[in-house]
Amino acid sequence: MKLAIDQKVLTRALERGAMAALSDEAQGDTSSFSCLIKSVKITVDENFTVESGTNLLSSKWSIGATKENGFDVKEKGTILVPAKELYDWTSKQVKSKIVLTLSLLKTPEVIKTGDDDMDYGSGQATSIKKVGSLKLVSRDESKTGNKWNLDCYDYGQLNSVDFSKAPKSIITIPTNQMEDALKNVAFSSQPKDYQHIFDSVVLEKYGGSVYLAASDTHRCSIYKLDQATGIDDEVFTETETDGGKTVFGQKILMPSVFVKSVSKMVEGPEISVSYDESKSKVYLDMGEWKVRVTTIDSAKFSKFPSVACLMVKTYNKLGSVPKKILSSRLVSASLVNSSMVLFNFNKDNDDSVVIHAISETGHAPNVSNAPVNNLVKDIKAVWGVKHIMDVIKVIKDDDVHLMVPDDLRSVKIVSEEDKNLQYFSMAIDSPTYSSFFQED
Amino acid sequence: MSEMPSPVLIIGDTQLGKKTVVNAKKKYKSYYWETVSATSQSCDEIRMLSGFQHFGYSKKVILITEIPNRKQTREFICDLVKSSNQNLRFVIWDSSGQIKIDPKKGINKTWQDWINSLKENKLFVLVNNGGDFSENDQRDSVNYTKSLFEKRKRIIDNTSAKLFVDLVGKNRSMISSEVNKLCLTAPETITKEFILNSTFPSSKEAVLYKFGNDIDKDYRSAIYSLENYLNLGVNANVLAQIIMSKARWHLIICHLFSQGMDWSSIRNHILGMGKFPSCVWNNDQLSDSKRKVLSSNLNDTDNLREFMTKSLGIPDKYLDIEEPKKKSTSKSIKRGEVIPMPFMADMMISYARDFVFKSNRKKINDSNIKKELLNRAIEVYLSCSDNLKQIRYSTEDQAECLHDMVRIWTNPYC
Repeated sequence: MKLAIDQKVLTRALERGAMAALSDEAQGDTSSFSCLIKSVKITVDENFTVESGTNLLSSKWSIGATKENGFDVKEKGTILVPAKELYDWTSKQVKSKIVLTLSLLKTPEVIKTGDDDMDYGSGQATSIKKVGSLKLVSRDESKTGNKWNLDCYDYGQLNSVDFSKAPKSIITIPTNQMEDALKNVAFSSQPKDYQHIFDSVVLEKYGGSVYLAASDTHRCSIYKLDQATGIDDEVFTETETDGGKTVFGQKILMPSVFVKSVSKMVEGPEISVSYDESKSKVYLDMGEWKVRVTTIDSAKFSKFPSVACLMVKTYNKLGSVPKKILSSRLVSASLVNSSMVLFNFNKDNDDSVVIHAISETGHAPNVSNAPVNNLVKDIKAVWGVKHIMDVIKVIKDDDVHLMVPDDLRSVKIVSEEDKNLQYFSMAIDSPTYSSFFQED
Repeated sequence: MSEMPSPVLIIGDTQLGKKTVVNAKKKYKSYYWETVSATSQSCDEIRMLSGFQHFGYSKKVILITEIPNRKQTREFICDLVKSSNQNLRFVIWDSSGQIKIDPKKGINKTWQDWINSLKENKLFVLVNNGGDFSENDQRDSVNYTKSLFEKRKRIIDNTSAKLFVDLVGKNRSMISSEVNKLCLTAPETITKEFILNSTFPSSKEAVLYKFGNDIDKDYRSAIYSLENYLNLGVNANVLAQIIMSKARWHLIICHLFSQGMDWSSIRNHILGMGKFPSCVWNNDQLSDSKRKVLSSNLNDTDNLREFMTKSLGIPDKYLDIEEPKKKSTSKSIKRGEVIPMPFMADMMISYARDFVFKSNRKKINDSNIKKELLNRAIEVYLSCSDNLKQIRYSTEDQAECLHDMVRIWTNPYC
């Protein structure tokens, strides 16, 4: 294989096609196959295809290998090379033309990655075939550049995902809306959940609309994907509520960290989502770029809060607090207790909210107040500081619009600027603030 | 399913504690388990997480880990667990092993007082997985091993259980996990041979024994094992000392063989060597158990003096040895080198008989073979001794010297 390629094009291709090999999971792999898992497969024929895969994520990026796209192909072929090394080197050859040349060994070299003596029946004893080396040459406008070599393994050892066998699309989401939705909901998911339920985002259909939601069990962000099209009603069934009964429809869970990375890099106008329930795989099709993520068995994520259950609950308007003031008061209160504070909404006190912060760590209590527009009633509730601060950061409104149910067990924050966003946070039952409730 | 107790305090061996937590999570899976760290998370944060209601779950368990040795945190936890109710349960796990359990004295007063105040909660349950056994302990570790085997419906006698503990070490979780592993293939009655063949040696002594055993094989395996231990960070001095010790015992065996002793007599003889006092250990009239009792009594200097004067008739004045300037705190007698376990003597005999003797039998006639074997043993001993000196006093060519020692040891020819 021999070709010349623009540095920008190669970097773009590796960022997307080698996404799986560059992921933390692949880079942290210590198995006998780590060499292969950390490698990216590049195929040059009529197209330039970059692909990589792990158990959790597979990615494939392909475009025509034409001069217009920045390619000058001298010889077709396929290589399998370490992804991180190739990506790191490429990203540093700014504004260069890069020449990739495969130099094959006369006889493949066998790299032993496991030892028979150490193989306690795990089948880990294996060997990887090194078939040659990839010569990398860069040259920039100054007619000077850099040369490097990378080991090239037998590409037959890496199984490719056949994206042509992906199930048919069940929903198509405009890229801009997906990006907006993730920005507004993904912060509510847990950074890591060993069951991979609460570190994911979910797609759920309710009341004729599709919602993207995330939750860490204490809070839940919901974003209505009102521009989504091509919804397959047969597969993507709707959750229905009838009185107290809920009949759950099809939920699709996707690991938040991967979907966020995809949405940041996607260039096409829309993302098509398909779902293989039997194999627990979600396919994302973005034209040149295709991604497959592994999700958990749908039976196991029944505990993920249902959008329908939250939407069906009645929340009444409480009032709105100027965002800047509320943010400033919460920052001050968090000097004493960065976890939870008591909000005392009081109509008698010129429609204001008094925020009490009491700590068990020895700090003196902190009290602040803020005006409330159109306060409906007097309430007292303990809410998480971080939970309110996080949503303040994403909403574009000048005021934070608060709503509460009759039982005061949670708070709902809505945005007037972006009606698609709804945010729910559970109230806290804490003896630290019990004295305020005893007054009543 | 029975109601989950709360608070539950898990102390003792951290690995067994982890297992207890995993089992509890499985048993009470209808609860949402929230893990908090009492070291890295503030009291306010833990209080918040306990007070939160959840989407999707009505009941939850707060698992408090990494309890620091701080009075304030102890008091906070005592107060926090009082909020236990039907939907909120607490499990406190000493995951960092702060609560030390002394094999003799138990738990220290500070922690015991804290446990007592937790006991004031009605549904309190203490899960004590026990600490490590003391180095000198024999009985408890053997009983613990036996009980683990018995739980899995296996019969094991004291000797085999002791051998098992010698190989695995005194760590409770290591014993438990090794028993689990062995019971996958173990017969109903567990023999010494099964323990020897199947147990993975993990005690410090047993690991070194394994190296000693490895070098009795061919050169390739011996070098592989040597490299392995060096890579694991085992000091070159320690490895050299093992080869040296083997060379010394081999020299003794060859000497006894050259004196006309048969292999089984040599085995019994070397097992008695180095054991003090020799008049007890080499007395054929005494049974093994009687030898042990007698020698144990004579381990004390005062008892020994009495024995030497009264039983052996040595005049008292002969024993007037000048007191050392710094009086040692221990009254026990320093012993000579002994072979700690009988199977190790079998290994040594096997090396001399099956590896060295058999390799040379065809080449050397019967009249010369004993002498030649002794000469070889002397040469091996002297070469190993020279290499040990090099290793002790120079750090540059330690690996080279070790390779040389292994090469000499694994060449059986005279």
